[in-house]
Formats: sequence, structure tokens, C-alpha cells
Amino acid sequence: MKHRLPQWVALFAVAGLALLYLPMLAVAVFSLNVSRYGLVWRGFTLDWYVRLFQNPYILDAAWNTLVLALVSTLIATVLGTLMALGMHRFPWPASFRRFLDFSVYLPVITPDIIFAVAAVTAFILLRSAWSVFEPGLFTMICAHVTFQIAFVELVVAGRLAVIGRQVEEAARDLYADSWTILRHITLPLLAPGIAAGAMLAFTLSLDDFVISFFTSGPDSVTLPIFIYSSLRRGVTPEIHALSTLIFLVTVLLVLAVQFLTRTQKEV
Amino acid sequence: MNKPTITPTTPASDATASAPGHHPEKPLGRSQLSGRELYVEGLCKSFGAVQVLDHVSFEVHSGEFVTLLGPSGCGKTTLLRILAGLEVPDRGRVRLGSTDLTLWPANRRPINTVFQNYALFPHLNVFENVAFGLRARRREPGEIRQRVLDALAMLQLDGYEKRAVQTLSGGQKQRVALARALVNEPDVLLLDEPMSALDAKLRAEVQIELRRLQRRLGRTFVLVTHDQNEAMTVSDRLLVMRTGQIVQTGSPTEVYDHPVDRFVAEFLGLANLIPAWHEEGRLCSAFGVLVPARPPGWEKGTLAIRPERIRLHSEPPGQNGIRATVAEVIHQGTHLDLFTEPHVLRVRASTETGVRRGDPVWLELPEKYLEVLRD
Repeated sequence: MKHRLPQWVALFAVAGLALLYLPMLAVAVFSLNVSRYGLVWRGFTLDWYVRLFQNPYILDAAWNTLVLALVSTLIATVLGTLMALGMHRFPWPASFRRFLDFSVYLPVITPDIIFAVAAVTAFILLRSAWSVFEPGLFTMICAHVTFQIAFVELVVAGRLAVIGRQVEEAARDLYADSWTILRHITLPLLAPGIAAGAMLAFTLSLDDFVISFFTSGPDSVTLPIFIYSSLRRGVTPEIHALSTLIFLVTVLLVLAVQFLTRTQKEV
Repeated sequence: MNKPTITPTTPASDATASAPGHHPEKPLGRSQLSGRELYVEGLCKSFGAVQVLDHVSFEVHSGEFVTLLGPSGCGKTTLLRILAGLEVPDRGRVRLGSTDLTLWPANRRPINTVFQNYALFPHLNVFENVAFGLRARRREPGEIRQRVLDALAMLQLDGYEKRAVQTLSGGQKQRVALARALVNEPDVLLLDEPMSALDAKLRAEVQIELRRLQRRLGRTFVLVTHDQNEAMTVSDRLLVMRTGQIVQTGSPTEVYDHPVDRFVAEFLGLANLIPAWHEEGRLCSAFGVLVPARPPGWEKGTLAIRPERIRLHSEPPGQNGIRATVAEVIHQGTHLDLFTEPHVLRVRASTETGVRRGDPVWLELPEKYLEVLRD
């Protein structure tokens, strides 16, 4: 017979899950409530979702968020992949490679607020030389790329480790030069890892508030910033509807990442 | 110590295009087999403080099947990687004929490798795996197709072109790896423990197949293994390695029958090691006075004899006779393994001898099989 844990352990697990999902569930429920104010259920409606798509501010913010996420993800994916290749396929001395690995982890665990302040400081300095660095979509893209690179590198490096060196050596043994190996062996095998890294970066950009808030300008309001500023005027069911949609998109992306990283183990 | 004897012992070593004789199946390619010999001269390699190769020198004749045999960590895989061009030696040279390859990168050497665990390209099908080397060298599509199909046919992989490599069995993967290397018609084929992923029964079959294939192609094969059975089965010549040096070279028979030291004697098959010393002009041991195959060069050292060379008698033999009692009889199916006392010897006897535990016997260690080891 299998050893069974006492039942209260299972109860704690359920309670933990409830804590995780109840707030989000409440938001989703209120987004479908006819009542505009208060916590009373007055009936089901999709009205708030319809209004969402008629609100020019929200549409504008959604567009900004999408452009920011797409452009920054594209840049970060290319740079992060190159970084992973450079760090793990170049014969660095072992001690220096450990230092490099550590340097990649550091931005991942640095609190967003510190990262944001650092970005703002950097942009102030750069602005004195070049006016492109006025707060706006461009500075936001720069800031997002900066924090996304580390995540992309980590995911791609994980996949590189799974692929191993042997197939690349086999390709070299079969007359392939470095470019052919990269083009026909490494990149095709790396593709799921690159896609997973890109989706992770996209999710992070989509949800980011702190860094965006500090680096945005008056014309580059994103959805998280819009939600934050609306909250000061009180929570509306529209915001609930918006939050629910963002949540659903994030869930889909995370599931996609999970799927891609799952298949990568079956090389 | 580290000077291996370079013995030109290749049967049919002058491999001209048609030397290996009959081709029952299609020959692999149309280009002439080049008869270039492989020379390895004074290779040294260290990883950090660990010296993996210590002045290794040998040569491999064209069309010869040579095996680097040794326990794990003896440097045989590093040596193979240097031959492949995946590792650069600290000192020494690798030559093919008159060409010095030492600093040539792997992708320019006319040498191909069958890797341990095969290292097939998981995102390419069987055809594309085999075609990879030809495509990298920009061969004509028609030629590629013909040569890949010929190679697949030679390894009984007809009809597998479209298969994903993940769906193949271990033996099939290994044949794809062989085809992928051989389709390029390399001057030298390197095999890095190619059987280690196969089960014992299949391994025995593949060893014989590999030997036949090599004979038919007349190409130079260099195999790395720690499996002495495998080495004995496939090789023309063994290079026995230990801690970065070649301890002994020779045909499987030579090395088995005349091991140079205790390491070789025990690594290849079973051996009774008998400590011996000179006393009053005679060679003494715990068994009494012994007369070995040749006079030893030391004052004190070791003699060796294979279990199957010891003869059983009921009467005392003329020379090298030992009185003993059978302490243990183990029936191995094809033969009996006897262990004697008071002095322990392992003796292989026919199942028909009918000896039983406790029987007194006379053992003869025939002079010509009593080998003198150098340590």
C-alpha cells in the first residue's frame, strides 16, 4: 500500500490554490455583473466588455501595450539567443563562464523598482546627448528589452544544454563549417527554446507595470498604467473586464511556454 | 615503456581500389580508395593538471582495422577526438600519408566518426542524416541521392529514407550512424564505443557485421572500446592503452598469448599471475622451481599463464608440475572452471575430465605457455 499523507495536507493545498485564484475569480465575476457599484449581484451582462472596445483610451493603451511587447520581445529574443550562444558555445575559461552565468541571474532577481530607477537614471543621462531618449514608447522598449534579455538567455541556454555538444561535433565531423552548423543544426534544434523564451519575454512585457510606469511618457500609456490611473477614480466593471482579458491572454501564453518547454525534453 | 612496437602486420595492407576482392553488394562509391596510412607521432594532451596522453605514437596501415583498447580514463577517447580534429594536442603530430593534419579542423579532414550514442540529427530524417556530409560539401543533388541510397542499401536500411531517427531501434540508429560516416568515403573511419548502447546479443552480431563491412570496403577503421571481446572480434591489431600510454600493440592473438605486463594479462581475458624470483640460478615460486617460455630479465617479477593452458595429469609431469587439490569446480556449460589449493590457480578443463571437488591432481604449466611479464 502506498503511504498516504493525512487529509489535512490536501486541504492546505486546496486552500492555497483558493488563495491564488479567488481574487482573480472575483474580478472575473464582477466583470459580468450588471451592477456598476457595490458588491451585489444584479444579473449577467457582457456590456462591460462591449464598452471596453468602444473606449478610445483603452484601445490606445492596448495598442501601445501590443507594440511595446512585440517590438521589445523581437529585439530581446534575437539578443538573448545570441547571448546564450556566445556564452555557452564559446570556449570561455570555466571560472569566467560561472561569472557570466551569475551576471545573467542578477537582473532576474533584481527588484523591478531598482531596475526602473536605474533605467530612468540612464535615460536622463542619455537624453542630455540625444533627444530620442525623451520618455515615451522608445525608452519603454529599451527598458523592456533590457530586462527581457536575461529571461530569454536563461530559457535558450537551458535548451542549448539539452541539445548538448555532440550533434554539433558530429556536424563538424561531417564537413560543416560554423555557419552551416548554426543554420542547419543548432538553430532548428533551438527553435522551441527560442519560442519559449520569446513568449516568456512577451508575457513579462505585457504585464509589466513598474518599469513601464517609470519610463513611459504622456503618449505611451499601456494597459497596466491605464488600469493603475483609473483605479484612482474608483474601480469600475470595465477595469474588471480588462483585467480578466489580460489574465486570460497571460494564461494562454504561459500554457504555450509550458507546452514548448515540455516537448524540448524529448529530443 | 612508452615506445610501442610498430609492427607492420597488415594482411592485405596494400588496398588498391579492388584489393578487398569481391563485392557481393554494390561498392559504396566510385572514387578510388586512397591508400594513405595514418601516423600518430608523440601526441601529448593535458586537461588542467591531468595528463591524458603521454607521448603516444603509432601508425595505422591503409585498410587496417585497429582498436584502441583500454579501461575508462586511459585517454583512448581523447586520442580519437584528436584524430577526428575535435581536440588539438599539446604536442605531437597526426599525419595522413604525407599530409600533416594536426592543425586541420574536423570539417576539413577526410576522416569521419561514428559517435558514442550516434549523435544523429534528431530533426532530420534518415536520408537527410546520411546526406548531411555530402550536402555540406555541396555535391550534386543527383550524386547525393545515389550515394545515400547506396550507403543505406549497404547497411540494409533500404526503405528507411523517410523515417524519423527517433523511431529507429538502437541497432538501426547505429547503422544510420555508420552510413552517415561511410557515405563520405573517408580515408579513416573512427568509431567511438559504437556498441555500448546495444544489448549483448545484438552487440555480438553487429561486431561480426562490422568486421565484414570493413573487409569488404578495405577502409581503415580505428575503433575505441573498453570491451576486450569486441576488440578481439573485430581487430587486425590492438593498441592496449593505460593511463595515457600505449602499453602493447599486436594482433589479438599476439597480445592475448604474450601479454607484456600484469595489466595487459589481466585486462585481456583471465590470467594466473605467479610471483617468481631467482635463487641459486633457478627461478623459484610458491609452486617450486619453474621453467618459463624465455629467461626473465628481472631478479624478481611475475609469470603468467592462461587458465586454459594448464594441463591436468594423474601422474607427475616431467617439468613445471604442481601437486594440488581441487578446491572448487564450477560448471560453465562449455567447460569447467577449477580452483586449486593450497596454491590458488584457476584452471579451465574439459567437461569430460570428471574431476570433483577434493580430488588430488597434478597440474602442468607447459613451458611455452608460461609467459614472463616485465613487471
